Amino acid sequence: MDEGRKVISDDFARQLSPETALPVAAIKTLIGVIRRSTNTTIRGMEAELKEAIQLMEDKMETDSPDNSRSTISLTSGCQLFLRHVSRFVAESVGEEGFDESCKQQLLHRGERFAEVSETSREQIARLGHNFVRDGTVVLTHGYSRCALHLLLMAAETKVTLACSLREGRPDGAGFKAAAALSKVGVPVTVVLDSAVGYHMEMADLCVTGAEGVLENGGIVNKVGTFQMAVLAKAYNVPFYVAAESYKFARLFPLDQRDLPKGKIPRAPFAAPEGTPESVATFSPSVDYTSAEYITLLFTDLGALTPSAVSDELIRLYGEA
Amino acid sequence: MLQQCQRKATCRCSTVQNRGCGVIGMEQSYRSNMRSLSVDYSHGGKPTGFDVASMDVRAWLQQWPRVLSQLETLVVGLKRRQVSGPYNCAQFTVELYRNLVGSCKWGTAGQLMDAVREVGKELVAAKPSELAVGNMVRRVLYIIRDEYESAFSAGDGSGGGQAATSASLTSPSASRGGGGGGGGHGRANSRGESTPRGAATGGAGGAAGTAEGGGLGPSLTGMLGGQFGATDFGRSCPDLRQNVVASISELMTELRDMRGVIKEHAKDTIHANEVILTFGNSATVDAFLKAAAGGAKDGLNFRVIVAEAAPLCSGHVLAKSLAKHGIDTTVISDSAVFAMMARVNKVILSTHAVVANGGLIALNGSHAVALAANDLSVPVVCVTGLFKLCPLFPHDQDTFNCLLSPAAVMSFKDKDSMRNVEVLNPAYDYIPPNLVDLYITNMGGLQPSYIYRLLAEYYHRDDLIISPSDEQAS
Amino acid sequence: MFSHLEQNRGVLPLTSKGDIHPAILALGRKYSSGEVTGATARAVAMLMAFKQVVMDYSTPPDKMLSWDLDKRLRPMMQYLIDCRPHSVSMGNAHKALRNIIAKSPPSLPEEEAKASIVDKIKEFINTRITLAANEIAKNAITKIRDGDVILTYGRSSLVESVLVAAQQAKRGSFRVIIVDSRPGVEGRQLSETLSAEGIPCTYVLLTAISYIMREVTKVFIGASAMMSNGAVLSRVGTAVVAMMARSHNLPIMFCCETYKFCERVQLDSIVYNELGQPDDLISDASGGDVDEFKALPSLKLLNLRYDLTPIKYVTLVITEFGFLPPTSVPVLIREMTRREDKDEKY
Repeated sequence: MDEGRKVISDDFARQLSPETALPVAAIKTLIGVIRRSTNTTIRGMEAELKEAIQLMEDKMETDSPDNSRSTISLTSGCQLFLRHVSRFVAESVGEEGFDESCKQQLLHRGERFAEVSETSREQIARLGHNFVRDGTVVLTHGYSRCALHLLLMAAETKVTLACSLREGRPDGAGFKAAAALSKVGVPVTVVLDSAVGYHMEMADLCVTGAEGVLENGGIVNKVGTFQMAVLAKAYNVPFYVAAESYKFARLFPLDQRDLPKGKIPRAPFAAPEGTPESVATFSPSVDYTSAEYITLLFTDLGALTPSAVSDELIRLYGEA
Repeated sequence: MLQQCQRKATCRCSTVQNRGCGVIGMEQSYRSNMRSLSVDYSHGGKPTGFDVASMDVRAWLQQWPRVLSQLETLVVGLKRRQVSGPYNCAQFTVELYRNLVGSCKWGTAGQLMDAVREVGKELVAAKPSELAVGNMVRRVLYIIRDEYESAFSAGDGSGGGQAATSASLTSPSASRGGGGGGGGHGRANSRGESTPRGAATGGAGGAAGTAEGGGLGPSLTGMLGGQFGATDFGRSCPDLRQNVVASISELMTELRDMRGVIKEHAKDTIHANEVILTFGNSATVDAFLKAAAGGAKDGLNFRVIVAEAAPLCSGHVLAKSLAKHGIDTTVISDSAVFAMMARVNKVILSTHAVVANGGLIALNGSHAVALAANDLSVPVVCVTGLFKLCPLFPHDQDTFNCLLSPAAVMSFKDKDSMRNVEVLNPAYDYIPPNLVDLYITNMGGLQPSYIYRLLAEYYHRDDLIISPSDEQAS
Repeated sequence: MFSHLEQNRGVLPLTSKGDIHPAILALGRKYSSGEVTGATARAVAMLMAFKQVVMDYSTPPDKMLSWDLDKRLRPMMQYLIDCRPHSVSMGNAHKALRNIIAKSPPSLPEEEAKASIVDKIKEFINTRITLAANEIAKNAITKIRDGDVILTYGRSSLVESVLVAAQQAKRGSFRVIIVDSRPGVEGRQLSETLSAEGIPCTYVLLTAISYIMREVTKVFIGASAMMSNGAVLSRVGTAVVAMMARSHNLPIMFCCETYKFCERVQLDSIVYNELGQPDDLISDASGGDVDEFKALPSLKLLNLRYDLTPIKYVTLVITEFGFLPPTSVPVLIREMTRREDKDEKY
């Protein structure tokens, strides 16, 4: 089995690239697993897939412990794919008789699913860019390819647009996003994370991505998103989230600490010299923003209000 | 040579139109062949009718002068504001479409939808701020899609399964109803039952019956069910015409009976000895309040305060109408709304349109009323028919607004004394969804966060953009 | 709901009572017809009329000036109130006048006493009203920046002088949005004045407030009175403007001289208000016919004059003493009362 695990591991590593979203890479890997699988029962197939998912999650944790990407989206994407497999099977074959043609169909569907997931960013940008009107000031946070794609498309069609990005300590993600935007000529300002309140009165709207979209319509995203959302609400500034639908996760946290432990990597930051040992530092890399602070979510399923997210998940997971 | 139409004898069309001979010749050939049409199947195999790529819809409609003149009358009426108000505009639009679908000769469902869209473009362009017109266009398109798809998924698995998409993988399971014949069709056909026909037309109840994926839009469920890609509307469908016309007639009935259904909720919403505040004039609110007041014996005793809604002061009209019915009515100026709000129990508003996020496009000045009510914890109830539900998003105050003549605010003869002064008279206000507590519609009471669900039941995602002005607001 | 409120009875007949001075009679007529309107204008007109009364007054033999004059003035004040309920500004001015008369030293000969009272009236008008307005303008224009879009409601003489002063002091280029409302469209006069000064103006009705608010950077409104609980009594519709501005996170600044500060507390607009002529609501513009309205017994018209803006919508109050948060109003009132008792100069 180690051989098999290695193959999966390599496959996953190969699929991962800066452009590919983590869940999409995972789904492609899982498709590979199905293709190579010699299982003839559906139970066996599911078990194999679950094992592969676990493998990928462990790999994410061990390979890059200081990688501030949480694995929520990986888990949600894989859960969705698993659900797809079991539903398809329930619809078409029942508990046994998992033959070659079924497998082909499964593969075909899976590939289409992956394709759609890849184009979802394009769809989201097309949907959301109209919300960014001429002459508006946009405040954004972190480096989300989804939100950036939306802003870039908006920049193409609008006359004037200015962006303020938060620095995004400790990993300075804001600068990465700023570079991408200023390349197309959008006037960008990078501001201190602590200066969000200062800048919020000038902002017309806020856009961020999400690492995971939760069952109540809230999101998990880079730490600092929550405070931006609260300030936006205080200033009546609309707060938009751009997220693909495979990020919809079956989590319903009650507060910041209610997120699954293994999923929140730390983002260490260095204390200045001379700080005594007894002073502890702590920084999670993601935080939880509840649904009441979010105006709309742009997804490939359309522009959803937070309550619509729950509906989608209920419809999906609700039946046996 | 004349070719018999592929469709059944019930179809009135007995000829098929010339399609092939090049675009330039097309216009002349239409005009000269209005009555008897010669046919030449130079493209072999494909049924002809309205081809959006090569013909102008008005030219095509010239073969049916009654429909064309109905269209032109409506366009002119909209432009000149002779036809005004969402209710009237919606009714005329739907009537026009019923005649179009019933009388005109179109080939396939795809061509019909193209024709509907082109006509819709003209109508929406005539008066972009009248959202009800666009809504009705989208409803008709949805009806066509729905009838088409249910015709192919309802039981005849052999023909139905062969959709031209990658959903070919569903064909063995079509008889088990795996998602139906084509893209995004999330009906509950997984058990192989055919969807009830009535469910398509504006019935939330129908959609509730189809457990998953109510509506034809994309959904997570849909994605997993394998519905990707667009449906092919090119197949011939014999019963489509009569089914669509029947559904459109149902839609017309729904429009006509709308106020009657809304009135039924009046007595549950208003209680005895309450003070109700309303703004401006609306036939729906008028009927609603009168229904609550009832007759002399069974009526409720409540007071109504009407804010006059300057500059047109339409509130005066409503006040007189209510007072004639015996309801204790007081007229106040718009400036007194906040002052009076402390003594008001409920605010009942009408609206021009309901937008996709559950907000309202309402009469100029309503936002202040809703905000004051919110501030003093007075419930805001919006009474509206669902034909006003629009799938577009309002991005700012200007998106669905228009500026009316400033003469209503300040007459031109006063202008001399105010040479450098700009006078504005916007028509509508945008009210965000968090200010509305309840919608009372012809589907019953709804909360604003539920509106998005209804969108999926009435409209298809691909139909959002009817005219170029919609692109700004999608 | 409004039976406790005074209704404007319209123009009273000019019954010439022997003890009402003609100046007061003329003024009463102007009040009830609406020719003199606005808190400051009414207070000043009242004081000027009373000044005339004092000048024409002669003390009867064996009577003390301070006591008799006060007695003479009472029916005159009542007449003015009968013509139109008095505003807080008038009430405070009248109280100050009574104070001046009461403090008049009995030892002074009549002419001197009268001259002294007249001087003190003039001083009151000068210090508490005219100079105060200048100080307020000076303070207020420090808050006006280049590029500002200022919104104001109705016509307040104070706000008008602030904006004119700002324009003349060349505080950069700013524009003004004037929000007006029926039935008494006073904002038109303001827009005429301001555009004559060269200030770019936009004029809208109150119903357009939501549409116009996104362009606005600041709000300046005048006040009729400042209540002790920090609430502001002002022209009806002010609360709507303030509420809308607050929802856009804009600063709402009330310009108010200290003589309009009132010890009363008021919770809402119904408790104390004034009703105007109901028929004013129907006008040619609305295409209404008064008789049609009167023919329907269930139909009433309500024409409120004032409303109360709650403290949460007041960002700051600009007085001649500077900027004041609304929570500090009772402190200032206490301070002023203390000084009056000691008869200190301002």
